[in-house]
Amino acid sequence: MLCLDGLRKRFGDVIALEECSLTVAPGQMLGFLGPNGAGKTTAMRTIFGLVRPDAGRVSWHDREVTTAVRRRIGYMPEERGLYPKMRVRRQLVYFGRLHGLDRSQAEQAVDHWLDVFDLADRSGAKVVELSHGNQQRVQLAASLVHDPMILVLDEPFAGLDPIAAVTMARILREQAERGVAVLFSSHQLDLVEDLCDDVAIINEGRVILAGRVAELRSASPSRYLEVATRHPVDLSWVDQIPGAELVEQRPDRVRLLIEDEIDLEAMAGAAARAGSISSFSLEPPSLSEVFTAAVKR
Amino acid sequence: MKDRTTILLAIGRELHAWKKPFLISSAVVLTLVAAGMTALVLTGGGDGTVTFRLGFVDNPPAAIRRDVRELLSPDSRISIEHYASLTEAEGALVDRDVDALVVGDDEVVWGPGTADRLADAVWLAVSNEQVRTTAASIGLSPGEANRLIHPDVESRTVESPEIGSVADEVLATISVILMFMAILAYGQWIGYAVVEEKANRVVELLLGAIKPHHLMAAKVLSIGLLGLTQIAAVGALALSIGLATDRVDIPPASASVVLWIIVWFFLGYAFYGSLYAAGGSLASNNQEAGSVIGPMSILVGVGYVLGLITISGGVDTLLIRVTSLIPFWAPMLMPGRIARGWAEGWEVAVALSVMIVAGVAMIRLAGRIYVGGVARATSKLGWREAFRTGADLES
Repeated sequence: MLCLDGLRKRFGDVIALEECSLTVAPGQMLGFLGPNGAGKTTAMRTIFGLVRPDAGRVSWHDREVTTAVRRRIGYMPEERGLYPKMRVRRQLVYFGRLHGLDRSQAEQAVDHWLDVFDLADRSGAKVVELSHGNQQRVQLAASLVHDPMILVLDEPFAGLDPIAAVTMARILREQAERGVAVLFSSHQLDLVEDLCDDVAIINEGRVILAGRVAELRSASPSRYLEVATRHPVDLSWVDQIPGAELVEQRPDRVRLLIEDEIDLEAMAGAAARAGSISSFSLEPPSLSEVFTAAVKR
Repeated sequence: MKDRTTILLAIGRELHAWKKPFLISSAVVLTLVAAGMTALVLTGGGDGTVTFRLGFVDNPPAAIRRDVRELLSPDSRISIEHYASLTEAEGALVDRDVDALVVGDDEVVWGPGTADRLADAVWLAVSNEQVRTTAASIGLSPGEANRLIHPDVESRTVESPEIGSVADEVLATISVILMFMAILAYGQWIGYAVVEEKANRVVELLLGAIKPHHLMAAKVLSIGLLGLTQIAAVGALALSIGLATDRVDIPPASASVVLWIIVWFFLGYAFYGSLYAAGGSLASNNQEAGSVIGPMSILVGVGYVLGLITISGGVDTLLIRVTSLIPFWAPMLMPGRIARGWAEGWEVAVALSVMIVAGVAMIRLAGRIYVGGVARATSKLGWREAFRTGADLES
């Protein structure tokens, strides 16, 4: 299990990490969420020894993360790290070999990942000649080519088109199913909600919320009521409900943040009097709403 | 995986990455060297010869021309212009169309630009002709006249060990130029290679698999290898053309001088190569790199200027003796002083010891700065901050 335990790190006056703790088990995919500057990248960089924490410990299966362990980690930095003028295949073989594969193993693995990412016909191109999306794929291939035990990906979905994002999500899921511990950061919370069972939310260097997505959602004291009508209706009825806060409004649909003890039957009645109801649902908050509430708290 | 394997892999990548710039720069340098030497051969220069222009009035005897030519050979030539009148000839002398005049067989005229060597040779040639004429008038044969002009006087030169031979001076000059070129050019390559890896963040991927010291060592070694190859190729080409056209004498310098040059070359390159790597790691882009690497180049330049002044001036001053013990300049000054025979044994021993200790310290210090520099993905770092970060990461 990859464990970041009580990490603290200051850069001058700036506190980057403050008692930051999280774990990622083999086969687990953990979404690492947080606003910009929350400490996600710093936390990830401690895993590689690029940042040495002032306090706390990073371990893999309760042992120090040695160079040998680091060679079994697949890493994707936030601002991407490839040699722009090096050809795709040569570059991937180089990374594979640097991480411990012999030449034939590396070439075999590169061919496999070039096929998976549909990049076989661009294998001789320089990275700089590729589109942004293809560069992103090469970057992910570089993190996978040596068959890692741990994947640490900083914003892997940033800048991807929807199709590329689906491919990326599928590959990450497959890696987790293979037993790889996957830790990735993202600002695309809907995507994280679809992809991950577990998330950790960091703010101001501290993990403020962590656990299974479903549990975090249901544990929230807030509920969202969504009411849809068959035709556009006058929404003035919403104002008459005490304790309800309008969060989203369309002519034929409203989404309300309500308190637990609100009288749902009275509310349903008020909505029905305003127009013909097509759906009436009570939901826990989405991951995005849990995230916003946690960060604002 | 063994550390050696990762270092070799990194060296292989560096060599491949620098292949194109290396081939292009080598082609340019080799072309320039070949063109320059060919031009020297074609224009008759390059062997140190000077052509003097001599004006003849009233048909001076052919023996004067022959004597002037012999006296000035082998490193000077003469060309002759004939003038119908002395007035016309003196006008040419004033206009510097000629360097000196010979009038008949008993008069010489100097001008504003007459070189001492030419004046001596012309005066002696005309004097010889006067001796020949006088000898003939008193009944001496031409052979007896020649013995008067060239009496049998045995002469020899005692070489001063302190001055050293021309060959040693050539080697000393080459060592200064070689060190300057190698350190400046290839040091900058190292610096910019480090910046490139840091700027595009690929170093973050690499450091997961290779220790930072090893990555730095791979860079210094591979670029140093390319640099040595290029210098060797240039030297071989220049030597080949020189030998083929009879323009170069292979210096009979002792092997020990050459060995010293090689030793100092490696020590200097390791010292400065590490420093350039550390400097490069502080910058986050090429623009920033210029402001870090620039001052280092000035440091190298100071050694180069001091070296050239010393070698060409032939003076071993106290300043040079002291600076040749300081690691920043020892690689450029000490080989030259050794080649000229100026360096005392104890000076060489001290300079070498200090250089080795400083080299090891520089590699360790630069390695630490490099670790801190490449790990911090921020804009330009200070030396101290990078060192602290490096020390922190290595502790």
